[in-house]
Amino acid sequence: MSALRFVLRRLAYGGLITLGVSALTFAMLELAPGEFFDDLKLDATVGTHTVETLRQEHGLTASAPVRYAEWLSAVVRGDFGLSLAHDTPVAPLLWERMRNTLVLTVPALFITWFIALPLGLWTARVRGRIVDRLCSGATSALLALPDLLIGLLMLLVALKSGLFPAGGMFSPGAADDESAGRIGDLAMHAVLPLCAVVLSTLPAILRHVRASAIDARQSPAVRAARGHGIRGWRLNLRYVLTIAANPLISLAGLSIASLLSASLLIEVVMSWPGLGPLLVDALLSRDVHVVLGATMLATVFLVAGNLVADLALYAADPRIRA
Amino acid sequence: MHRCGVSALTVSNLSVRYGIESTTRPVLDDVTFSIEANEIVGVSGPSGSGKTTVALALLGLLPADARVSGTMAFHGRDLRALDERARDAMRGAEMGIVFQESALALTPMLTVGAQIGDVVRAHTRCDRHQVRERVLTAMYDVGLSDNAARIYDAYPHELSGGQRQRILIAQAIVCRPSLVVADEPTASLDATVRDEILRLIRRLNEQHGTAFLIISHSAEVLDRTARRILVMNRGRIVDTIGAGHGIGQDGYVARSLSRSVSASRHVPIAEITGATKSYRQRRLFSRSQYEVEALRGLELRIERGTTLGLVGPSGCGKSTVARCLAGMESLDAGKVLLDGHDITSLRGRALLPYRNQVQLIFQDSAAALNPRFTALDIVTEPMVIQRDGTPHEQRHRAIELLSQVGLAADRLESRAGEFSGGERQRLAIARALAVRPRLLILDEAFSGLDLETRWLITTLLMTLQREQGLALLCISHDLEFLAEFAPEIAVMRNGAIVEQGTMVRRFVPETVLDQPAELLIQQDSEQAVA
Repeated sequence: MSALRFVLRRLAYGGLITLGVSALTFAMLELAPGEFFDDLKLDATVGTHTVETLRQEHGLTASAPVRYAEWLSAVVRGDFGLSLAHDTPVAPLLWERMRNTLVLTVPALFITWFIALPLGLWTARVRGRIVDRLCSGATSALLALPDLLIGLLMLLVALKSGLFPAGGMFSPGAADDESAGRIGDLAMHAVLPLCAVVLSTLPAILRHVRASAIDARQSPAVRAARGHGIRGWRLNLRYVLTIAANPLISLAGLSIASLLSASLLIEVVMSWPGLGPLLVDALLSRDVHVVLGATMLATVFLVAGNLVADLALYAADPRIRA
Repeated sequence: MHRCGVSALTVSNLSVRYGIESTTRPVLDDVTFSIEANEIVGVSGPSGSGKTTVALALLGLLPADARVSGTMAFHGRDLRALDERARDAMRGAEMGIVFQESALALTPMLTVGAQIGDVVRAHTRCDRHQVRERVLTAMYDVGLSDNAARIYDAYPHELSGGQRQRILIAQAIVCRPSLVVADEPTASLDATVRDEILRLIRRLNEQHGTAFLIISHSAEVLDRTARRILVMNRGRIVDTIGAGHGIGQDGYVARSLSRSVSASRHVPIAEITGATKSYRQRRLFSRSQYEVEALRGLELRIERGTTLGLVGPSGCGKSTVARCLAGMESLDAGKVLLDGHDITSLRGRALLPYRNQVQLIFQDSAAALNPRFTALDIVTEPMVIQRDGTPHEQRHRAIELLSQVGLAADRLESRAGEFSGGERQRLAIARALAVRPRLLILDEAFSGLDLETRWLITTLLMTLQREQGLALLCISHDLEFLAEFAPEIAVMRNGAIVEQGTMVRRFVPETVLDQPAELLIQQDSEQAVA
């Protein structure tokens, strides 16, 4: 099977998966009790007639399949339907929030792997020595800490040190500034949320890298390479890392998939205007189209992440190409 | 030829043990020997006797929990006192190593040319062209001169077992070390190539003065290369003999293996007709691809309760035959009949009833066993899957099978990773027998075993054949061994059976081994008359 046909087939599967996930999400939202205008019914100043009119205007009175079909046609049009809470098309709302989330998660992903790969290879080499034990202890502690707590700890750091702003993406007024100072302001605001995201994703990935590298180091191929006097970076990069690579590449694909979801909780805690707060609000107020849109984005990232991982495996492992 | 008194390597009172001193038997116990510059020394002994541990100790590759005592002096330097950097510089450049199990000793991710080149780059500063030059020279030296360029760019899985083994030897000699430790260097090579390698070893020894320490279970290999042979047993050197004193002639060949003619003969248990199979190879982002034709119209018939030997040079498609019979690969064209049923097109669940009728045993058995399972788990597992008997019966049968293949009862709870190569092969055989197969395929399964173990297992298989009508397909490059074990031998070349018949002689003279195998075989028709 050629690489191109492989990609096309995986893309087709990906489309089907995305469609299936959207139907499932829609069905689950449908099954959950309540809808957007239920809050209005509690307001004594708003008559039931008004609520009915509003529901009709927003097409909520139609049957579920009809509404799903309408939403699908909105997806094809590119606006992803109308947000009930914001009264605007969902698409521009999502793009902006997704961009903010990616500003946080893409650097976090690179930093995580940039730390995890060398540190994992190194701790595998010095396994059992004091640095390795310290590292294991630290990752255990981080794994045990809930993400929420890490976010709160970062806020505490911001408050106590006073070096970094506590929450938000821009200082008041800086958002409209087009100068280089705006980038600096953004960077200052991003430092702590970045740390929080990295600290919450790093331990698991680091452990996987270390475990894979330990297995690889014990393989007969690495033993043979050492027997030939191959050492240092040549041994670690060309032998240990390549032999350990396959599970790690799959893991890297999954970490691409988690780009949108990795920081949701931390965004909420640290008031980063990403997808996290938007999704929480939409879920609480049953703003169906926003929830659907965000879920779709996450699914697309999942499919894309796996595809990238499979292609990377195809490129890395000659046995898969054969 | 030998400059006496100039010791390249002196090992004194070397002991190696794992764990606590009082509870474990040492893996090496007070081993003392020396190798003179320019000398070839052999190490023989049954599996588990500590042969490989000697190699690992010399190279400083023992696991971290190994406790070593004694001295190893290499050209006057104490190997145990070397720091990490000095030891790395010594490995490969001054002392080379050839490992067994070539499928595992090369990384699957790099081309073999790059892997030989890495040894050069680890020890010398050369540019790319110089490295390539030296790698190609080493490949010529080990007899890979035909399509050297293609093999240079091939990945290990694209090469046959014999070709891979030669790559391992090329890695060991590419830096021209003064001593090469070779752990079963010819285990997976066919007779012709084995002789070439043995000649190469002698040539390197004579031309460059390279000393060799050759570890082998094959008395013949040692007899034809080594000046002295150290015989090991249970971690000790129990004897030192000068080569050429006749040990090459004993062993399994001398032990007559009785065989029976069962009533159910001439009923085929497995049949392959008109089989073709080709593999395609391809590079990333490249349209060029080439096909390797593994089978070209192969016809093969194995009768119930008989043993068929399948012999042929490396890469002729022997292993593909085994995999197709076991239902692990599908043919491009042709038919596979198992006990009269056509299984050619069966897949998945439909194939299940036939799966346990054919069992395969490979050469690299270490790769086929879960290292964390105990011996008992490994043998019980197939019975558990087949729901064959109560747990108590399964355990009982597993113990019986393990004792049949000669594994001691006190090792039932040892994990697979703790067994030596030969012992793991016996484990694999015990596991295969657990499902009561009707056809057992032994794909070079004996080449890692010492003579004693071979004899034990062949005798066991013969008994099973007599009692249960077990059919055996024994794939090997070792014509001499097959001649004794298999009454009928099929010769394979380029994906087809070129000849089939009965071996004429019990003993094959050395000179004839270099000749094409066809010469040794009496035609089927003649045999029918006889």
